[in-house]
Amino acid sequence: MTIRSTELNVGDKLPCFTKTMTQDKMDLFESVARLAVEPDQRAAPPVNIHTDAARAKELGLTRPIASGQMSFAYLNELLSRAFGIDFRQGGQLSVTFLKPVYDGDTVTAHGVVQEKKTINGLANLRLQVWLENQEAVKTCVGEAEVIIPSPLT
Amino acid sequence: MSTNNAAYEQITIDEQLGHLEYVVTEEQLKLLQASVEYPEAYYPHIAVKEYLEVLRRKHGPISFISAKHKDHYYHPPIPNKRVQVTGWVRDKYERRGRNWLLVETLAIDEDGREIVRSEHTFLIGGVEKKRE
Repeated sequence: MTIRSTELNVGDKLPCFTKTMTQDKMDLFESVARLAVEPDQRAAPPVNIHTDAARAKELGLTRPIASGQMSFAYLNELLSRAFGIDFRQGGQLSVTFLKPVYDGDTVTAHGVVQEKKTINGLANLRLQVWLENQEAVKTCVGEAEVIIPSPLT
Repeated sequence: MSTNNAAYEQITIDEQLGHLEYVVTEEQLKLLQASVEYPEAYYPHIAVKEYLEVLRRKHGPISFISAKHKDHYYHPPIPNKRVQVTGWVRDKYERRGRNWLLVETLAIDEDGREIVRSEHTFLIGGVEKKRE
């Protein structure tokens, strides 16, 4: 259910949710993360730091890490759940990846309204967003912007 | 990591990385949605890793880790429509003794609808042990 901009004020939090990372999800995500490769290349399972322990160790990691793009997708979900089409058409999301997310980790998506302005009759919201793991450590942090209603809708 | 640095040194700011074309199928979208457990995930990650492959083919081996990503969404891709992505090197710089690369991409579908403009920052090389 989307939120009406009039319901949100600076300091308000978006509804949180938690995801558990698994190697199966990481493998599946990687299998669809290379859309521009040829179909015959796509058939081969990707071998990279997200799917293969040896490749991860080559880069100094202890084991495969989830793609930062999965964390990005979770924060996209946080904002899409809250703002629906206004975020999907016109929204912006910028995320810095801080800590690895591993198979077995749980991450909780958080968002809080940082700024609210009305420009030309449209609500402009700026939010802080982040993922926190089971040890309450932030694994990524970011900022989002959404205009309600979006001029693109 | 000399091989990484050698390839990295050859990369130039504003270097064009060419066009990539593909079609997002309904099946791919469903797999993406299953992998992130969200049936309304409509934006696949468009041609981020493919451009690293372009750079590797052009300049040699580069290992990298994603450091930052930014998307500005316009319209979700419509399944089975052709998508063209244009990519270029927006910036490269050294910070805290590490090399960084910023690649920008713009995805447009066959009808000229803008889909997403993205910026992706890569940390070249591996992680430092203290971060593990």
